[in-house]
Amino acid sequence: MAMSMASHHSNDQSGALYGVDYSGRVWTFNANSKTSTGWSMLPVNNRLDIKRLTSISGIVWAISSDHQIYVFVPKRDVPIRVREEVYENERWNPVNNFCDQLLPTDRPHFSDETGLINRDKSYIKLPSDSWQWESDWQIVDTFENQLLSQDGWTYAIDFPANYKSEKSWNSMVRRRKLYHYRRYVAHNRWNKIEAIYEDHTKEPFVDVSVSRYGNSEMFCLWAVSVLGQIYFRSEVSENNPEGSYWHHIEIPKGLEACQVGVSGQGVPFIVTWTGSFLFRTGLTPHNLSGSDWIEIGGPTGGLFQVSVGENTMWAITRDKKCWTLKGTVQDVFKSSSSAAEWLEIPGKLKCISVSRNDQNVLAVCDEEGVVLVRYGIADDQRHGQQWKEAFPEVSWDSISVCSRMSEVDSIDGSGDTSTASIRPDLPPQTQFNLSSGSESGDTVSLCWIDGACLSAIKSRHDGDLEVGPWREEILTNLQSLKVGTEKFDYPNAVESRASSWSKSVKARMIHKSKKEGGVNGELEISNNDTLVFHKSMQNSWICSVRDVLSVILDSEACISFSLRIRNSFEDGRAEIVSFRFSNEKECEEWRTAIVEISLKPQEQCKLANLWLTTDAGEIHQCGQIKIAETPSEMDIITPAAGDNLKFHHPLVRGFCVGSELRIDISIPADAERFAFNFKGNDDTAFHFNPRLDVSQVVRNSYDKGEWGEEERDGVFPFLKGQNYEILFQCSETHFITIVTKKHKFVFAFKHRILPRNITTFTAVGDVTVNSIRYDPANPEDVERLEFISNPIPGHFWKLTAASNGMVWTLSYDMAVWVYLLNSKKSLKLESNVIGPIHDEKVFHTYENQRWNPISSFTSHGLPTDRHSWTDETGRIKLEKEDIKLPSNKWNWVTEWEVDFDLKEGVDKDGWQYAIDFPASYHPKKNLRDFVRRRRWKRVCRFTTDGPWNLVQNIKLVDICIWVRNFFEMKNKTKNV
Amino acid sequence: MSLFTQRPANRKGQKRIRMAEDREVLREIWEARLPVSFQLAQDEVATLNVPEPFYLMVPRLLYFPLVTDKVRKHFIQYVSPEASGREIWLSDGNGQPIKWNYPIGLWFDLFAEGALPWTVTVHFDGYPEDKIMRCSCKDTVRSQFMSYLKEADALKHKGNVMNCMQEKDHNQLWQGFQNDKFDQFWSANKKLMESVVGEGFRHIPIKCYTPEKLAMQRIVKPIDETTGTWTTLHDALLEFFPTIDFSTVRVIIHGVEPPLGTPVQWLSEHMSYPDNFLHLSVLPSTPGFSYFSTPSLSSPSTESGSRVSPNSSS
Repeated sequence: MAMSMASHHSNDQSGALYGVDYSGRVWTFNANSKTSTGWSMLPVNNRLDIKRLTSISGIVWAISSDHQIYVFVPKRDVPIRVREEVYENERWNPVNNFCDQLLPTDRPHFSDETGLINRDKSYIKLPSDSWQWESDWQIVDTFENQLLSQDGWTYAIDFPANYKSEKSWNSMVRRRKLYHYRRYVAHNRWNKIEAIYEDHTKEPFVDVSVSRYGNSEMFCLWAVSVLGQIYFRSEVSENNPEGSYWHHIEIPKGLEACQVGVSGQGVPFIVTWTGSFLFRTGLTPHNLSGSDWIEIGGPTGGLFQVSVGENTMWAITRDKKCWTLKGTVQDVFKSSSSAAEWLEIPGKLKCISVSRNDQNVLAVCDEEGVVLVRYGIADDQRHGQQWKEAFPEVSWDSISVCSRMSEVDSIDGSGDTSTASIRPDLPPQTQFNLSSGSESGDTVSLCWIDGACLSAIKSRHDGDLEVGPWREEILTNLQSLKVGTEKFDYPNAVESRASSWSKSVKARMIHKSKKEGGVNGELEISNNDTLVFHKSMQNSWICSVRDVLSVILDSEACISFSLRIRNSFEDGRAEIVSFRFSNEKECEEWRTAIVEISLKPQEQCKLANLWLTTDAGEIHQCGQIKIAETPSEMDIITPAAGDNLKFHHPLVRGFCVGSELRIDISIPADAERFAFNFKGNDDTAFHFNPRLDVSQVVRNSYDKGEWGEEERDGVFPFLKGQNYEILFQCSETHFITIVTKKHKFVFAFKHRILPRNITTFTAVGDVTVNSIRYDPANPEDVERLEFISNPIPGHFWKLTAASNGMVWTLSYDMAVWVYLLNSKKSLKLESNVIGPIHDEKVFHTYENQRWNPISSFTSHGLPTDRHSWTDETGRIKLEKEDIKLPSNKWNWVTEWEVDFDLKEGVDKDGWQYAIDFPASYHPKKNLRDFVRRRRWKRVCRFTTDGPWNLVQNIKLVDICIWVRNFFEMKNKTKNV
Repeated sequence: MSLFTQRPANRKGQKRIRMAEDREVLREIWEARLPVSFQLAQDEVATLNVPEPFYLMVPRLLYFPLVTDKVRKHFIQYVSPEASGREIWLSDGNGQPIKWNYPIGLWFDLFAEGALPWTVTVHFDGYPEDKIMRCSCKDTVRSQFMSYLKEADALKHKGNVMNCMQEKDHNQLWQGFQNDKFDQFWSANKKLMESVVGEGFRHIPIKCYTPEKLAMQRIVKPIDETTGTWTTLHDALLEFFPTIDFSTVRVIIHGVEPPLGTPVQWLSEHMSYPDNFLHLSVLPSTPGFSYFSTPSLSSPSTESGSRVSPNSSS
């Protein structure tokens, strides 16, 4: 009647805990569940009496009372589906046309892609009762992005040749691809895994253990039978939880295993009845079962039970003493020497277990059945300092055994719960008080163990300092104090001087709109609202930070960014200016400073559900702000000499209905005639021409190369040597001109050409224009919406948004993220919504070698060869040291590793062979292969915080959202 | 992560940084002013006409030598010629010479008992060298300011931040402080206020002052080691005065009394003086004395629009 628990760890942050009670039922602990204690029964449909269990990633393997191994796969959102494919081959003969009678040398009627393996449909079976076919065989109907005919045949001259979708005159063979999916359906129940022999009572199991191989997808499942023999289950993975075959693994003669375990990295080890410890070497991705056993000398007394973490190993010997390995586990495993030094840890213990990351060590004390935890484990103190009692109030069955503990780093601040731990055999309603020192509301972190005990150890509040009511009190006191002192209207002791302060840096500016090259100079921000770039002694470029619409990073390298600036001179086009800095830190500093200042307040800006992604992986949320145009005084531009043009100014917004132009003029004493023109591109909508010699004001228009009909009537109001004020107005039907000097003189000119085509206003002739004021038509009509963008923290390559405000994105490592903020809310990111985001990128380089008769394969090639370390094409030299992180936001996650994942296949060391370099590669070395290559990879990771939530358990290549009827939402996704 | 030690960092050792982000509070503290009425010492008036008091709104955060140029210029015509070349010194309502190296707001909170306007007497003669130091030029003030900053940084970050700052950043701090430029000062100061989320500074730079005994300094950590919670003002004061009776004292900073439950980490980030120290005044609480109801100030509703007249001479 043992109580044992298992736990799981997964690549993401959650952990889970399983426990077995005295009646053989399995419970799972979920911190967020609704039961008061957090324990709930595992949702299995069939009841079994479980004795031991082990788990990974939510899948649980257990040994029941009939000593058989069962597997439990929980129901998930993403089903487990495996695609089976087969090619159907046919040859043409004159008698039967295309049929399945093939030549003796041909590939079989049903085969795989290469034709080497016979895959007759009868061979393709469901691996066990847990699977079901989703559908019948289906025909793949696309080939190289083209739709095939209904039967899906592709034609070729002979079998291994180029297939085409159309039958041509010399096509003698054809083939088509069929597929169907099988789906794992036996969720939420215990499914028996086949035993070693047909008769399962012949060699039942006593222990089972599973772990993940490094960071890969494959699991290592090891079991011990009652005869002390070791078995390894091959091909166990998330997509194939039952595995495929049992392999009997030889152990050195005479030894019988009593315990099997798997270390954090997937290395299995066994403890024998005689107290020896052996571990397996030779594990490769191709051979997960390894090749040899190496024995490590244990401490005196004979080993009884061992637990291995990532770097440390703890053991209990038969005399109940506790030992730990002095060196690191990696060193001992690698050196394969049989000598190992052990350090005795004081304490009389019955069993021990250590978590996957070495941080937590729990043990059951011998006498009282009390559970102890090792206190004081730190980087420099790997073995901790002393034992402390873990849960003083909970009493444990003395038979309870800790066997293995696994990963605990799920406690990332988000694991705050205040639940208590219980012995899972008690009914769920039992409440327990935590160990002394805990107050209500304190956060408790949970330690996931797979072994007998579970602890709820209180950890300190991981969170940030939270603002309490004291802040409000302080602020109101300060404010009322200020009100009290403001009554005294004394002059200020310190004047804020007009000369502002500024901060400057050396940078290189590239003006993209003007298509200029780069200019080195100094960038300065003064008074927090003006950006000045000093190009040279006199030449500077100035802009107001308020006019900055977007700040966009130029590339992953993060040393330059571009600004989109509102350009009030050219309609609609923003000015784009890019700045490059000498290092990343300066760029980041300036970028955040400008973003902070230019961030538009909520009222001014209407954020749309419009998003922008850049090559650098940035995300911007875009919106529009209204720029209300106010009437502006225009500068008088002195015209070029030699021109009879006195004044020329563009009317940026035309001269539509409701616009006004007011000018003050002086007529010189010897004036004869002058004119004002409202011109379009090649016509003049209104020509106002006072002629002093004939005392008439001529009004006309010019269109299509001809002047229209003159209007000369009306009083002549102008006198030489006088000043006048003229107001031009555009009404719906007329141009109204009002000349004011003591009296008002009005001229009306009926529209002949549409006034909205007017672009400039000119003054010609003997007149001096003193001032001009231009009021465009009602600003609300002509409002301009400027497009701005605000950067949101995150790093993604594809983003898709739906019309109801949902935003989903994909990162480079194919993970899916959901945007958490409602875009209508404020731009400021509340901290409770922000969570960690990460993205991963993989870098590759190829190692190339050539064979020579003297020293076999070496990295010295012929002079014409590619460099020994290159990219895939072989043209670019890529040493491992040359590959650097894109920016300092990235960190390396792994070291350089051999990548076994090449398309054409690799041998056991990762090499692929070919006759010469750019040729077809294959994994087996033929006689004529003189070169070989292998690919190395290294993964780097980008972490930041932002308002995004990770969607678990799924990797996607593409995503789009479709909103139906505004009531439902469907995701169309394409799985990998 | 071990169960019994400090909070875990995020993956791969990347830590989240916190800093002084509550701009509203920072601005209120920065813009706090005191109305000061400067008067020339009676016995130093050497002319027939008596000088009028000189009124100024003085920032609480500055030091007196930075604001008294105008004061000196105003009064210099009224003193005897020998005295006019000398350095001025100030004394408060109690006749105590004001130490110029204390921030103005600190001295006011400690000794002036909240009476506004603050009447300060200007002296040209008889510089009490035994009680206060000479301050011949503004650079003396600057060097004290910088040395306090360095000391505070040593307590908070082992001195790393100040050492990594360039000379221009140090200048920016001083210029921003001296010229009352909030953005200029804080854009450089924010680096000094950074700490790791969940950990805070190494130690809190804090000094306590009582009217009898000035300038006490103790070691205060932002997080209590035994309980694991953020140290509050209450606990910090116990470090200074183990036998303190909280019902008999008031703790004032910048003219307000922060609640005793306020975490000192937050106080240090937001309510420090520009020299990055928390200067706390600990005063006896007189029953019936309300800090805001002094005779020269009445409640806002009755005094709408009436203001005290400014200086008559420009």
